[in-house]
Order: sequence, then structure tokens, then C-alpha cells
Amino acid sequence: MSVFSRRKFLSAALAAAACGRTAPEDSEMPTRIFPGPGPFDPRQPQQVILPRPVIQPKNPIYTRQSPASPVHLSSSLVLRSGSSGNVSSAALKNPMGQDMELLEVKFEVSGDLSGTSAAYGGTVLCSLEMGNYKLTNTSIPVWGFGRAENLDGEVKTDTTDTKVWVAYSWRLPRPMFIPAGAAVVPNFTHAGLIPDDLNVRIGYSARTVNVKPKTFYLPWISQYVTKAFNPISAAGVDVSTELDLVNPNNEALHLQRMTGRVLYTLDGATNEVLPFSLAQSIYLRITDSYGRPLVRNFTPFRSVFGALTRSWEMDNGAMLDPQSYYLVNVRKDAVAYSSGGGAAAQAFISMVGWREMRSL
Amino acid sequence: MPNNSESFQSVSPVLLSSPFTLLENNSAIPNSGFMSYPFRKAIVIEEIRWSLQVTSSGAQPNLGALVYTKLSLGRHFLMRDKVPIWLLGTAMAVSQEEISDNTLTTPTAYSHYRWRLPEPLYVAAGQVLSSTFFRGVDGFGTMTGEVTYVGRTVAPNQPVPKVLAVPYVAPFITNQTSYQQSNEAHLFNPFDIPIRIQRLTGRVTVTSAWLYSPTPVVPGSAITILMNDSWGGKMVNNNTGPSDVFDTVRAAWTVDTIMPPKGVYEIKVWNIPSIAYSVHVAMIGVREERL
Repeated sequence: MSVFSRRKFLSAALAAAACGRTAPEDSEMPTRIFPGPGPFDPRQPQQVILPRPVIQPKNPIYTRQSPASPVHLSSSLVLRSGSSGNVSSAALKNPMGQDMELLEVKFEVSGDLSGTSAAYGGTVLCSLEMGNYKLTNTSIPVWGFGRAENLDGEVKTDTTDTKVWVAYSWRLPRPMFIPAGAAVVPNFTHAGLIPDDLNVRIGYSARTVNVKPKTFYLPWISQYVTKAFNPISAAGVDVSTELDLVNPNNEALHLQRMTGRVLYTLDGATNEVLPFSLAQSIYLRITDSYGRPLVRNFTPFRSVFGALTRSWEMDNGAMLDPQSYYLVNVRKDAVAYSSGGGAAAQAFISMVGWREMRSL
Repeated sequence: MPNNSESFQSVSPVLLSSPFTLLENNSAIPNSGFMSYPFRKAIVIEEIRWSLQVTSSGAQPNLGALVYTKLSLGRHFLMRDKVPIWLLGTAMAVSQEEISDNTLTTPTAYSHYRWRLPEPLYVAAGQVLSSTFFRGVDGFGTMTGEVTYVGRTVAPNQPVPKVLAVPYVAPFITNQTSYQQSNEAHLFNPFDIPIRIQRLTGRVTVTSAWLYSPTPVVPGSAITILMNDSWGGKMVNNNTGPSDVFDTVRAAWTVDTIMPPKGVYEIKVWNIPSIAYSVHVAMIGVREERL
């Protein structure tokens, strides 16, 4: 672990500070953590990261095309409450018949303003697969894939046409190679938590590629949804099973993150954000297949899955063994609520990662 | 099961958390037993989170302005002085810093903060990153909180590093009217080694109205800032509003530069309307410590 990666860099900084001048030009200057152009100068702010150079392909078929052209594909459907449906998979294939790498998946759910929009992310579930490869363990709520990058911007209301849009995005941990002619096919389910019909749109942000990778990265998402707790007066406990946050594959799962959200139906309204105290009345303890604790003490939900991002980022080398799992113990405490009370509170916990494959 | 699965068991996510109670004009230390990894293995801390809550009927305080923290790893201090919690990270979602829940029998206000460390902090087996919290008189009564360290275990075959990357934070907080400037007690590198400065963060409080603004835009306020470096070089040349220096989206100014040993940033704050207004600025960076 090194801040400046090499001692030479450090000594250059010291020398520069001592004489008040910039470091001399040095062709062997080591790469900085945030590389910038030109020699190191401690008085100058470093520059932005330069884009990676584009490597021109050797295959002449592609010489007239951009070697990494962006492509965005999307498809939509209307989901009735309690139903399932597929979007057009043809719309999610590369229209140029080329290989591509999937970089980001975007979900957009819209409905009438009268609906409880903040619940859309937990109401619409999505499973993903590409051919024989399943990418999800079960149907995952669309808010469970990515972290909340802009929590305050997830729900947008348009009073002029009385519509509400809810948007979530998931930047894949590693680009996912999709061969020409193939597609990642989503299947959507309306869990029926609210009676409204919902418009669902999925978008793939990708780029065309002309070289097959040597290693294929396949995302994997699994999900645990707690039982429905009485959100107020009653305490309760729940525990996940070996089939929930599981890596059933024969490859180790590289973890990207775990996400956590709480859905409430309270006083007739379904919501994710408020009342906030109820999220803090849910405590978690997490262990792995060997009984070792990831979260040793029962810890408030918003401390495990940070309030600002609704996630616990793990893209740091952490792995889950093949055919192993995490167990989540949930404790819900009673809280003193001033209003009439409500129906249910459920916690949604997702585990997002990827596995490496040598071939597809 | 693949024959190489043994190696996968070695790196596991870790989350350590401890509650604490903080009285007015007092300090608190969380349970260090909760904050140490129980299996006597080295871990790496990558993120620190704080959740604060008080009983409050009506006001939506940004509690991170009121609670200060100081972190140390043995003899390696992460902070020169105690630092307001809201200055450590960027303002990712201000709504989560100012939550007021009046649906409870006892109305409660919550504030949440997250600091992604500029470099992962290696914590040797049996060692603890200790937190201490401080608070002045603010009228909010007893405050409770939760501090959380998020990271991962270190693979057992990974050697103990000879050089430790230790974050370093230095704050500057105004407490006067009209004009105040920082000195070598504030945004300063006291070490004999350079610091890689990741960002500067800045916010403004208005205590009289219990508004702890995440952004420095205060109606009628004409607060402006000038900043110089150690050589007198201009960092902020013209009198500029705090909201321009520390943007209103993230309340931060990402610089990514090197501060040489004994270097200093000098900040001059003009037109502070009254003692109720306070400008908070912090310098966030990381240094190398030889073990």
C-alpha cells in the first residue's frame, strides 16, 4: 500500500519543496494515482485523468467504423398490478449485428401522480438472463441493482401531465460482453404492492467492440426480502436462508456491493424514505457460510446500508466462495408512533457482484 | 467446488459499528471493543459513516455541524484538531443530513454522513481506529449516534505494509464577526513529509435560526473568501462567495494536489455578518507514515 507508489516520487516532492522549484523533467517519473500530463509540480494542481487511447483494430472489416462506438438500446412495456411481462428482446440486440459490451442498465418506472411513486422501485421486479446464463437469482426489485447515486433525484414529478417518473441506474462492475445476435433479456413482474398500472422502460448503455475478450465477466445478483413486519408497535425477527444471498455458481463471486432499502405501507401510503425512524428500528447482523461475522453486532439498517447511497460498497477485492452464502439476521424493534398505524414494513437486501468465465 | 476456493475465504467484507451518547458540552468515546475486528486479523477501513439523532420538534438541524470528531490509529492522528463531521465527506444527499420525523410520539431529527477515505487505512490485527466525539452547547439536549467503519479483511498471506497511508484532516472554523483569517494552526501540513490533498470542503452555519446550511447561500449574506498557498500564490484570487468555492452540489472543492512539508493554505473570510454565522472549511488529504 503506497500513497505515491514509489519513493522516487516522494523524494521529488521533498526536493521541490526544499528549493521552491518544480521537479526536473524525468522520463521515468512514476505513474501517479491520478495521472496528469507533464512533470510533477507540487504547486500546480494536477490535471484531469486523460481518456484512454483508442487502439485501432487490425481487422480490416472494422477500419471504417469506430472501434468502440457507444450504443444505447431500450424497450418498454405496461405492467398491470400483480402481472409479469417481457419487453421486446429484439430491441435490446445490437442493431448493427456486432459484438458489444454492456456498461450500464437503466430502469425507468412511471405512473399516475396519484400513485405512491417512492414505492415503484420495490414494486417492479426484474430478472435478467442471456441465453443459458442467468444473471439474477430471482426477480430483483429495480432499486436493488445500483447504489443511490442521486437519492434526491430518483423521483421526479411532473404536475403538468400528472405523471411521476422514478429512475434507477446500475453501472455494471465490469463490462459484460454480449456476442452479436445475443441479448440480455429482462422479465418484469409487478409485485402488486400498489394497485396502479406502471410503465416500465429498461435501457442498456453499451459500446460496440471488435475483439472478443479473453475473460468474460457475468454479473450476478441475488436478493433477500424480509417478512412483512408490523412497522410500529410490534417487535419481530427474521433470518434469510441459504437460498437468498447466495452464490450458487461454480465460480467465486467478486462482490460489487450490497444494497438495502425499506418499504413501508403506513397510514395507507407506501413509501421508501419516510418515516425515517422505522428504518432505524430495524437492526441487522450478517454472517457468512462459515459463521464469520460481516456485521458482528446488531446494527441499525441505515448504518449497514448508508443513508446517502442505500448501499455498502464492496468492490475492493472481497469475494464470496462458490456455492456459499451470507445469512442476515433481522431484528425489528417496536417504535412509538403518533398516528394510527399501518400495515407492513419490509427490508430489501440485494447482493451484487460478478464472476469470471473463460468462455461463454 | 473449485480447488482454489480456499483463497477466496480470506477476503471478506467487514462492518464494525458502535452506538454512543453525547451530552451537550461534553465528549464521548464509542465502545472500542465493538470497533475492533474480533478475529485478530488485519483489516482495511475504506469508509466511515455517522448517524446522529436528537429529539426535535420542528427544527431540521444538520447535526454534523454540531458534532466534532477526532480519529487516531495508535500514535498516528488522522486529524490535527477536532473536525465537524459534515466536513469530512462530500454532501452526497443533503436530504439525508436533515431528516425530521414528526410522526413519532417523540419527534426526532436525524443526520447521516459518509466519508470515503482518500486511501484505505490498514488496521493491524488487534489495533483499533479510535473515535472521540465532542459537542458544545446547542440546545438540542441529549444526542445519540452510531459510528460505523466499513472495509474488508486483509488476506492472511499479505505482508504487513512498511508504509502506511494515513488520512489527514485539518479544519478552519470562524468564530468572529466581520473578518477572520486562518494561520499555521489550521490548513497546515505539520509533518516532514508531503500530503496529497484530495479535496477542500466548506460549509456555512447560521446558528441563530437553527439552520445549519449545507450550502453557504444565505440570503442577505455577503460572505466572501480569498485563499493563498504557502508561496503567496493565489488559490482564490477575487473575493468569491463560499458557494462558488465549495460548490453547492457537493460542498467540496476537489483539488488532488500535493502540499509540501510545512505547507499551508491561508484562507481569509470577509463580511461575516454576525457571530451567528460560521464558515467551516477543512482540508482532506493523506500522508505516508513509515512503520
